[in-house]
This record gives sequence, C-alpha cells and structure tokens, in this order.
Amino acid sequence: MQASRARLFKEYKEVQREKAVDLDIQLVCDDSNIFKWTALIKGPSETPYEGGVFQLAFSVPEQYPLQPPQVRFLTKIFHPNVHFKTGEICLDILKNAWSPAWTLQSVCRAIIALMAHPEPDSPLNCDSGNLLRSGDVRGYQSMARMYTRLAAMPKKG
Amino acid sequence: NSPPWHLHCQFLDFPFCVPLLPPQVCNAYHDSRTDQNTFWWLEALHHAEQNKDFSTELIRKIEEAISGTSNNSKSSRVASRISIKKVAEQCNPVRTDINNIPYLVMSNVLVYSFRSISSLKYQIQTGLDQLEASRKTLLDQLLEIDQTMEKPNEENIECVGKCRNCQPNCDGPCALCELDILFQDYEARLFVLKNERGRIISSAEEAVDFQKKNLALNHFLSKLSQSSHSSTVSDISHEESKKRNVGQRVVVSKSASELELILGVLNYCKSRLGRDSVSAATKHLHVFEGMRKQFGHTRSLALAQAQYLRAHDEIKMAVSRLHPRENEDDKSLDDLGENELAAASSNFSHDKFMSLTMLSQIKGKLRYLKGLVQSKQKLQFESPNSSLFTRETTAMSNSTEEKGALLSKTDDETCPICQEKLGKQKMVFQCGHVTCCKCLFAMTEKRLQNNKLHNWVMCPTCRQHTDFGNIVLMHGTNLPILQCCIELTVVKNLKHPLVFKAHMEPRLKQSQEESCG
Repeated sequence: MQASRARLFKEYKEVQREKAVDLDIQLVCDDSNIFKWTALIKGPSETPYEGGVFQLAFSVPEQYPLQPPQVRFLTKIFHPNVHFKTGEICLDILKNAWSPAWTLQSVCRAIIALMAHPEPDSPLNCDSGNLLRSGDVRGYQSMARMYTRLAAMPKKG
Repeated sequence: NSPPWHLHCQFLDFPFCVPLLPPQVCNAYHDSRTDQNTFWWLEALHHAEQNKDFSTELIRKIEEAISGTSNNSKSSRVASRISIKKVAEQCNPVRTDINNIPYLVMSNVLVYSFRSISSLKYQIQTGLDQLEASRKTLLDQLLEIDQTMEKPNEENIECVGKCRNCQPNCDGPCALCELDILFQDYEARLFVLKNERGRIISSAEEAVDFQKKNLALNHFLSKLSQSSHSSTVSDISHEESKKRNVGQRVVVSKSASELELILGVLNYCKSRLGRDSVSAATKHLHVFEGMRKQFGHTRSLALAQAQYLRAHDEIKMAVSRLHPRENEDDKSLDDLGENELAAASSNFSHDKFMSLTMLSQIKGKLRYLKGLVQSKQKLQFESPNSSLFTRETTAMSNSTEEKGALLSKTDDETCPICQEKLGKQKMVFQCGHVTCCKCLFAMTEKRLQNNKLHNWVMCPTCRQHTDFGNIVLMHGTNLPILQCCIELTVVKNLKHPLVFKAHMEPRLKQSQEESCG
C-alpha cells in the first residue's frame, strides 16, 4: 500500500517535469484519488489515427508496480486490439509480460506504438481484425480514419 | 621372488630410483603437532610406515582408486566420492596374508607406482606446494588488475589492442593473456586433464607444456596463412592438414585431481588417525572442493575484465577517428575535412554507442561477481577455518568493498521498481541489474502467495530468470536472509488457511481476464 503510493507520487513528479518535453502524452492524476489517472494521447503520424486525440482511463491496483494497471480507451477507436464498446486493450505488457520497471508514461508510449502497429491475430474488434487478415488494408484504414474523425477530433463549431 | 606386476613396471621402463626426501618434509613432520591443519596426512603416513602390511594395502588401494577414475572417463563428483568410500572401507581391515595380494591389471593408462611410503610423502608435499604457489600467483595478478578497474591503466588498454594472441601482427602478450597462462597452470593442478583420445595426462607440467605448444603452433599457422596470400588448392589442403594436427586439445574434466584423491583415501582410514587429524582432514578436503567451485567464478571475473579493457580500447579508437583538420595545408591521414566530418561523425558515433552499451553490461557482470565474493567471505568468517584460503578471499573482498563505495557514489543509481535511491545494500541479479532489498522481497512474496513455487525470479529490467540461490546481496549475507524470508512466508500460508483461500480469488479473476484477452 505505502510502496505503491510512494511510487505513484514519484511518477506524478516525473510527469510534471516532462510536460513540456513530451507533447504526445498528457497524464493527469485524479484530484482525490492517486490510483485513478487519465491520459490524452495523440494518434501517431502516418496512421489513420493521425490528428485524433484519444482519452485513456487508468485504474492502478494496490499491488502496483508488482501488478499492471488496468487501462482502457474512453474514446471510440476502430482498432483490432481494442474492444469497440468497452475500450479494453489487448496488450501483453499489461498482462503476463508486465514488469515492475514499467511506468504509466511508458505504458502510454506502448499504446501509441500499438496504434501504429496493429496485431490482427488476437483481435478484440473482429471487424477490423478480419479486414486486416483478408488483406483489405485500404478498407481498414478508411474505417479507422472515419471513426477517428467522428470520435477523436474536436468538432468544428 | 618379486610379484609379476613388478615385471610389468620394468617392461614399461618406469624409473625405479626413488628421489631422496628433501629436508622440508622431515621438518614439516616435526612441526605437524603445532600446525595440524596442513600436515595431517604426514601423521597418517607416519603410522602407515610402522605397519608394513597396512602400508602395502594402502598403496594398492590408492593405485586402484586412480586407475578407477582413469577407466571411467565420464565419472562425476558423486561417482568419485563413492569410489573413494569403497576403497577406504576396504583399507580398514588390515590383511596379514601378503601372498594373497591380487595382481594389479595394467591397462593402457600410465599409472604411478608408489613403491614406498616415502615417495608418496614426497609426491603429496610437492603437489600441495605447487598448487598453493600457482594459486597465489594467479590471485595476486588478478587482484592487481582488479584494483585498476575503476581507472584502467593506459598500458593495459594499449596492450589489449596490440596483443599478438588476440590479434595478428602485434607485440608481446597483454596482461590478460598472461592471466590466461596462469589460469592454465592452476587448472592443470586442480582438475584432472585428459587428451582428446581419453588418455589421462598424468602430470600437471605435461598439461601446461601441451597447451603452450598449442599456442605456439596456432601462432605459427596464423603467420603462415598471412604470408602466403596467393594460395593454391594444394596449399589450402596442406594448411588444413596442418591445422588438424593442432587438434590434440586438453579436455578438462570437472572431477577431483589425483592429489585430492590420494588425500581422500587417507581421510577415510579414520581408525588410524586421531580426533584432531580427522577434523583437520575433513576441513582440508572441504577447502579443495571450495577451490574447485571458486575456479569458475574467478575465470568469469577475468573474462569480464578482458571485455572491460577491450570496450575502453574501442571507445578510444572511436574518439580518435573524429579528429578535425586544423589547417588546409595539413595532410595527415587522421584529420578530417569539413565535408567529411559530418559523415564520419554519424558513422563513428554508432560505434561509440555500441561500445558504451557493452561497457554498461560488463559493469553489471563485475558488480555481480564482487557481490559473490563478499557473500562467500562472510560465510567463511562464520566457520572457524583460518587458512590461506580465507586470507586470500579477505584481500579480494577488501578491494571490492572500496570499489563498491566508489561505484555507488559515481553512478547514484535508483531502484527500477520503487525508484528510490539505492542505499548501501542492493540485490544483484545474475544479469547484473540491481534492485533494493524491499522490492525483491515483495516480488518474492507475491510469487509465493500465488501458489506458484518457482525457484527463480524475473529481472524487472530485462526479464531474465535468476535462481534464488544466485541472487547476490552486496554488503551482507544473502542466502540466510532469503531462505528465512521464504520459510516464513510458507509457514504463514500454512498456518492461516483462510488467508490462503483469500489469495485464490484474485487468481481466478486473473484467469478470467486472461481468457477475455
């Protein structure tokens, strides 16, 4: 309990320090609960998610960093490894390949890398997975770009 | 009148004249009462001399033990111990029938012929002295290089780059190749060495000379291949046939040497020894076993030192290639013009990063080995054995403690798990990465609570597995603390079954999540 709190406070300080440096990730801690975090990540360039801003929700367990945090997308995203309705992410470092040396910041970077390199062999979104496995890259990119514009881009007022 | 096996010795042209005993052995026996730790075997042999039947039986059993190990080319340590026990048990009942001694079957192996107890004394004394001398020389050289590891000697770095054994067309051997020669000498006296054909090399001097010939021949062949650049097919086949002749290598088997075997046979004749001699003999054999185990770690320390110096050499070369040209008129080869500087910089900075990465890896290995030395030193202090073995490890650990302080000041590391600054105590994995003690215990406890009784822990930085027994605690003992921690956790789990059931539930939840994933 105390170890995870101390670790999270350290990460909070680090996040404040790196705010101006890393513009792709904005990590914010909940005001009343240090075990709840929210992150805004930019879609990587040269992908159909470019230009979009996606919101992630972090739920940190008490055993952290010995156990991985639970992360899910709050913004709708068309990606084979993300569940469309719940936003659950299928990523090995968040499950069996977790290591205590990982931080919330590095988890965000891993998720950005996952957006740039989808893995259709273990899909949570069957539609996008089937598109990629059948070789319809153009169709997948078209659908992903459409959902990015619908859900992840600020509305033109 | 003499038995036929003496005739076999004559047939093999074995020398019969026994060298006279040097006065050292006679003086050593008189001093054995004051210092029984090193000369317990003299008392045993002194008693054997007074009883001719027992001495004849003892000599025969020693010969059987040595020929037994030579026949079993793949014998392990346990097998050699069992053979020693069997031979020793047969030594205890002293037979009075001289005529019933069975004939020793002579195989292709060249076996020592101990015709009397005095020659046996001479051989044991000589073997122990030479082993101690080669060990001391090796450790002195190793410690000398180890003390310069923080700021390596310029000569050592240049020698690594110009060593003729490591690279062709260079000057004399570097410091680490000299260490290699010392290692070969020590290895020949500590283990049993064999030919490729399975024949035992009967003396340490023969093995060392054998390896030196291999080095010289390899050096000659490398020069020969360089000189003949325009080689035809017949020349290539000729060189290959020559290189095949070099293939008579020395194979090191991890079993005990003949000297240790003889001492083992003497040790098991307990009815002939006093109480003090029995305990001294047991300690002496334990020291032998410890030396054999320590050899592997010492060897890897020397290899890490060699890689460290080579990394420094490569960094030096990479930096020297980026020397800018001062004037337009300067025509030296090393200088680079303004046009070439950018390309060369991007090219050689890659080499520098590779060297720096290798350097950090090797530093981790060195840290792990120093921790091993410290923990062994502490264990030695707990036991009341005050032999040369302990003194040498103390000297080595003192230098490593100083270096540990320097490393902690310069690096200022943090634990990768809790990200606090690492204090004086840290846990070092086999890969060289570091953790603080609290986090390692938390990782261990989590594993045991999940009802997965593994013997290993995963390194948080590189995910490599390390056995519990191989984790090293710097500045302190590691094994007792870890074992106590594990035992306490297991006892807690057994005493509170309700808590044990409570831990099962998160496991079920995890399995459900994994199935969704």
